[in-house]
Amino acid sequence: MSRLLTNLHRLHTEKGSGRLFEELNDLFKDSFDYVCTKIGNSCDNEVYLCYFATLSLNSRLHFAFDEDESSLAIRLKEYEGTPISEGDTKKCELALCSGSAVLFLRGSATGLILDLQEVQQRSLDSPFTETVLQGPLYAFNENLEVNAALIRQRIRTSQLKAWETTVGRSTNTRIFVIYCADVVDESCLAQVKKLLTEMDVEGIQDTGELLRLLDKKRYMRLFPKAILTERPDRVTSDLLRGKLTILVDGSPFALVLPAVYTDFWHSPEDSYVNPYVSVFQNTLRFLAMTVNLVLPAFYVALTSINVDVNRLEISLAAAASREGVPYPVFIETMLMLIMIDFITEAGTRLPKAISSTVTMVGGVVLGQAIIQANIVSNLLVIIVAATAIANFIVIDYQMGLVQRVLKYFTVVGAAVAGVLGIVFCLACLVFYLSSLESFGTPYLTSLLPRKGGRK
Amino acid sequence: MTLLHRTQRLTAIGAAVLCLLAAGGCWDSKDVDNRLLVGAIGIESTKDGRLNAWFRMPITSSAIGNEKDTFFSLIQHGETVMDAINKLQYKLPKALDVSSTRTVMLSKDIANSGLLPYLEFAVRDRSVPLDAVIAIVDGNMRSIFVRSNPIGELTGIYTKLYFEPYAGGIPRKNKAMLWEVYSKLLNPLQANLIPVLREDKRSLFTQIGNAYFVEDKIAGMLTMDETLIYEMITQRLVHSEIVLMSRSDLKIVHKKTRIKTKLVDGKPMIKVSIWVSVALTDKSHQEKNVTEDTIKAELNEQLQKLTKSMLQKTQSSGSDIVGFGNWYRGRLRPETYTSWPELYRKADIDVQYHVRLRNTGLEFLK
Amino acid sequence: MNKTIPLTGYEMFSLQVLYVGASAGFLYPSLLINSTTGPLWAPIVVWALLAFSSCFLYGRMLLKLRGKELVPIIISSLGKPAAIMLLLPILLFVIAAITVMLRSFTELVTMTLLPTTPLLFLNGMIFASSALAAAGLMPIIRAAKVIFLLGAGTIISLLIIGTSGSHWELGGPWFQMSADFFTDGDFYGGSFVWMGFTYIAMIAPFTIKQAKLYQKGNMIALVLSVLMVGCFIYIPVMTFGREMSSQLTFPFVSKMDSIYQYWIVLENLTAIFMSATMLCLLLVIALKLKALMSIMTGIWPKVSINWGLAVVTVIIYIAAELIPEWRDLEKWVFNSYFLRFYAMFVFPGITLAGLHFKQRKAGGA
Repeated sequence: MSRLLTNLHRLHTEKGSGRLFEELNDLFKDSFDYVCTKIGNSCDNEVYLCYFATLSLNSRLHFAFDEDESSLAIRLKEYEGTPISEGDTKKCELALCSGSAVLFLRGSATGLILDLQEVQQRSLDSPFTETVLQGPLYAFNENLEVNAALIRQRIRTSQLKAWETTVGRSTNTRIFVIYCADVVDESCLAQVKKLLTEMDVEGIQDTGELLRLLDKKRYMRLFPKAILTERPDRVTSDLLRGKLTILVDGSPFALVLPAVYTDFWHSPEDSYVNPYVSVFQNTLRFLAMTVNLVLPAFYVALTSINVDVNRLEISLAAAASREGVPYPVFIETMLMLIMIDFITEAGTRLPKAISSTVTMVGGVVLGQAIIQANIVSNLLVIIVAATAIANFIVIDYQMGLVQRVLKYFTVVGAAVAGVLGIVFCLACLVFYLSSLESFGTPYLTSLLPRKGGRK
Repeated sequence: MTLLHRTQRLTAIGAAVLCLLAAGGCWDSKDVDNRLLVGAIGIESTKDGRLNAWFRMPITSSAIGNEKDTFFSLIQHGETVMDAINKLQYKLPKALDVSSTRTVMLSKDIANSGLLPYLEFAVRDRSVPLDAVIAIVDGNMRSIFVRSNPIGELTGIYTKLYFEPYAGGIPRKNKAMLWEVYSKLLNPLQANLIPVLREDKRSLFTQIGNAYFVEDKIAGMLTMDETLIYEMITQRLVHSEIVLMSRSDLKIVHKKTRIKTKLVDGKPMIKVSIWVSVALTDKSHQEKNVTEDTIKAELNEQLQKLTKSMLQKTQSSGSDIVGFGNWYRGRLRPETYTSWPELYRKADIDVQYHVRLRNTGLEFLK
Repeated sequence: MNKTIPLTGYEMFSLQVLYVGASAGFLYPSLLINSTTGPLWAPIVVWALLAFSSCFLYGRMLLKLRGKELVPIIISSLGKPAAIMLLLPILLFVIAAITVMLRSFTELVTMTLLPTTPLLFLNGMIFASSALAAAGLMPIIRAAKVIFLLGAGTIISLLIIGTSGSHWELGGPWFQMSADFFTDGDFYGGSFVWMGFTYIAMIAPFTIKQAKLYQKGNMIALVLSVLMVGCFIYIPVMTFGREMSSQLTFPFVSKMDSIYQYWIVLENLTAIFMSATMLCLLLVIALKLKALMSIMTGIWPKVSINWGLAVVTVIIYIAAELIPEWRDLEKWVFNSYFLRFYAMFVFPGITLAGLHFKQRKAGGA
C-alpha cells in the first residue's frame, strides 16, 4: 500500500460530520474550471480528487476511469514525492485557489492537499526601468519563488533570513520579508513585521501599492519612503548594508527599505565604476535636481520680479523674446511646463514606435509653432526643454515624479516673491524632508555613509 | 469617510488660497517686456536751478537687423532726478526701470556746483545700481544721448564697456563707480577723480582727462598721462599699459607699490616706492645709441615729471585723490579729519620709481 | 517617531554659526559702526569675551543637568514660584527677540528686493519656522545641518567674495584706543548677535558628556562667529570707508550691491545674500520657538505643544505687524538689552548657584 493511501485512510472520517465533499462543491459551484472527480475506490470508500483545471499542472493529472483498487494505488503513485499536507475545508479552499489539488475520501472532514500548482510566469529578462550599462543584466519577474531564489543565489549565507506572510482578505497575496540577520536594523524589522501583520485590505496588486499602505501618515506621503527596484544586485547590495527587502507575489519590483533621500540619487552602477567618475556623476545628478527644481522658477523670478539681478544684456534678450507675448510670465511658464509634462506623459504611456513620433511632434513642431504664434518666448522654450531633460537624469522613477510636481511649487513661490520666494520654497522643502522618517530612519540622514541599519 | 471629506475640503481651501495668492499676490511682479530698462542717465543743470535728465534706453526687439533704431532717448525737465523719472512716466507706455542703469553722466556745470545733491537718490533708494559708472560730460550732452552708436552693438550699454577692464577699459580711463564716488564724497580723507568725456565727431565720445574734486566740486583736471601715475600709486593698474617716450615705447607689465607714511610736527611725510617692470614695444630709429640704461633713465625721468605735475595740481587745490589721508586715520583724531586737505597741501610726498626692463620684446636691443 | 538622540558637537556648532549668519548680517553692522569712533575691533572683542564667559557659564550650568532638560530641573530644584520668576523674563526676551528678528528682516526685504509686497504677507514666513518647530527637535537639527551647508556656506563664500575691492587703510584707526562705546546705546543694542548658545541650552536634555560637547562646539563656533562678525563689519568699512558706512542702514547689504565681477553671472549679490540670510533666519526662528515651547511646557506641563506653538506664533505675527516704524524697532533693540544681559549672565548665574546648593544638599543628606 502506498504512503499516500495510508495517509488517505488516516483522514478523519465521521458519519454525518464529514462533509468536505459537499462543502467544496458548494463553494465552487459556479466555476467552470473546477473539477471534482472520483478516481477510485478504496476500502468501500470513494476517493475524490479536486482541482482547478486552469491552475494545476496538467501533466500530473492524467488518470483512467477504472474501478479497480490496485489501479488506484498505481495512480496515486504518480503523486508520490509531491509535498502533501492535511487541511480542513477552509485550508482546502485556499489551497485549491492557489493551484493545489485536494484528495479525500467521500465523507471525510479533511483532505490531503497535493501541491500540483503550475505558475504562469515570464522568463528572466533585463530590467525595464533601470537600464544597466555594465553590471548584472537580469531582473526580477512576477514569481515570488524565482525572485527569492535570485536573491539567495547572490547571498550564500545562513544569515539571510526570509519571513513570510499573506496580505489581502481576497487576494491572499504572499509576501516575503528578506533580511540579513546579522546587520539588519531590528526595530525597523519589527516595525515592518507589525505593519504587515496588522494590514487589513481587500487586496494588493503591486509593491508600490504595498508601500502606500505601509506609510501611515497622510501628510508625509509626498516622497517615496522605499526604493522600488527590479534589479537583484541593487537589492542584495542594500541587504548587505542592513536594509530589508519586501517581495510581493506577482510583482517584479522589490521594495527596499528604509530608504533615505540620498539613496534615490545613487545608481547601483556607482559602485561598479571608477570612484572619480561616480563622484562626477553624482554631482551631475545633484545639479540636474537643482536645475529641475529651480530653473523655471528662476526664469519667472528674473523676468518679472528681480530684473536687476541678472545682467542687462540678458534682461534685454528676455524682453526681446517676450515681445508680443500676451500673457504674464507666470502664466506663460505654467502653460509651457504643463505642455511639456503632457508630452512626457504621452511618451511614457505609448508603445515605443509611436512614442518617438509623439516626442518629435510635441517637442519640435509644437515648440517651433508655439514660438512663432507668440504664445511663449523662445527663451522659455529653452528653459523648459532643459528642465525636462534634467528630469530624466533622476534615477529613481518615483523621485522623478515628485520632482516634476515640486517644480510647480517653486514656480508659484517665484511668481509671488521672486528669488526670495524660490528660496523660501526650498527652505520649506528642507523642513518637510527633515521631518520625514522612513521606517524609523530619518529621511535626511546625512550624506555620510551611516545609512540604514548597519551601525 | 468624514475625515476624508474634511481633508478634501481643507485641500480645496488651501488650493483656493494659493490661487488667490498667485493671482492677486504678485505685488512686485512687472514683466521684463513691460519695463523700459534704462542704459544710461545723463543729468545736466538748467538755468532755472532745476535739472534736465537724459535717458537712453535700449529698445528690445526680436527683429534685430532691421533698419530700426536700437535705442530711444528722452529728455525730461524736473526738480530732482526722481521727479524727472516720475514725469517721464507721463510719456511712456512701459514702466521706466533704472535698476539696471550702467552709466550716470553728469554735466560739468553740476560738477562745478556740487555732485552730492544729484547722487543721493541713487544710494538712498537703491534705484540705480551702486556699480554704475560715473562720468562727467564736458560740453553738450545731447549728441551722446541722441546719436546712434557707430559701433552699433547694444546701445546704452557701451558706456560701461568703455570703462570695464574686461572690455575697452584701460587704466588711464579710470573707471569710477557710483559707490566709489559717493564714499569719497563722504570721506574727508580722500577726494574723487572722475573721468571727463566730450562728444566726438566719429565715435560717440572721447575722454579728455580726469577731473579731481574738492569735496563735491570740481577743482581741476588731470591729463590722461597723469592719471596713469594715480593708477600706479593706488595699485589699480592691473593690465598692461603703454608709456610713450621720445626714444622708445614701453609697456608696463607689472608693478608693485609700497606707501610709507609718517606725521612729523603736524606735517605728513609720505614716501611712495613703485617697482615697475616694463617691456620694450617700440624703439625710435632716429636715436642711435639707445641702451637699456638710457631707456630706464628716461622712463624714470618721465614718470617723475608726470608725478610732479600730478602732485602739484592736486596738492595746490588740497584734493587728495590717492587717499593718503586714509593712512592717517589712526594718527589724527576723528574730529580733525576734516582738516586733512590743509595737511595734504603741506604734505611732503616723495615718489621713487624702480624700473626694471623685463625684456626687450621679441627683438634684441643692439 | 521622533526619538531624541543626543546632539553632537558639530550640530551645536552649526546651530551657533547659523545664528550668527541670521542675525549679524543686516541690523548689526550699522549698530556697531556707529557705536565708536575708535577701532572697530574693540567693541567686537569686548562682546566676544562677554560671549565666551557667558558660554562658559552656560556650560557649567548644563554640567549640573545630568541627562535632563534645563527647565524641568530648574522647576524641580528651585520650586515652581521661584522658577517662574526666573524664567518669565527669559520667556519675554525670547518672544521679543523673535519679533524683532522677523520684523527687521522683512523690513529689509521691503527696502531692497520687494518694495511693494505687504509686510502682512512677508511676516507670514514665520509659519514655516513654526511648522518646523512643531515637528520636534530632531527635524530642527536635521534641517540645521542642511541649511548650514546651504545658508552658512553661501554667506561665507559671499564674505570671501566681498573681500575683493577692500582696502586696509580705510579700516582705520586700528590702534587709537577709545572707550567711548561703553557709553553708547548702539553697543549694548548689538548684543543680540552673541546669544545663539542660550537657545541651544534650552532645547535638549544634556548629559555630562553633552555639556562638555556643548562647551566645545559653541566655543569653536564662537571663534568662527567672531571672524564672521569681523568680516560683516570690516568688509563694508574697508570698501566704503567709515563715513559712508555709518550713514548706511545696512552697510553689508550695500556692499553686496556694489560688487561687480565679470565672472559672477549675477549682477547684484544682494538677492543671494538675502536668500542665504533668510535660510538661516527661518531655522533660527524655529530654534527660538522650540526654546520658547520648552520653557512653556516646562512651566505649564498641560499646554499642548502644537496649540501653544500656534498661539505664540500668531502673537508674534501680530506683534511684528504692530511695529509701525523702523525707529520703533531700533528702540526695541536698544531698550531690551537688560533682558539680554539677564539671559546671558543673571539667569545662568542664579540657576547655577541654585543647582549647586541643591545638589550639595542632596549629596550631604
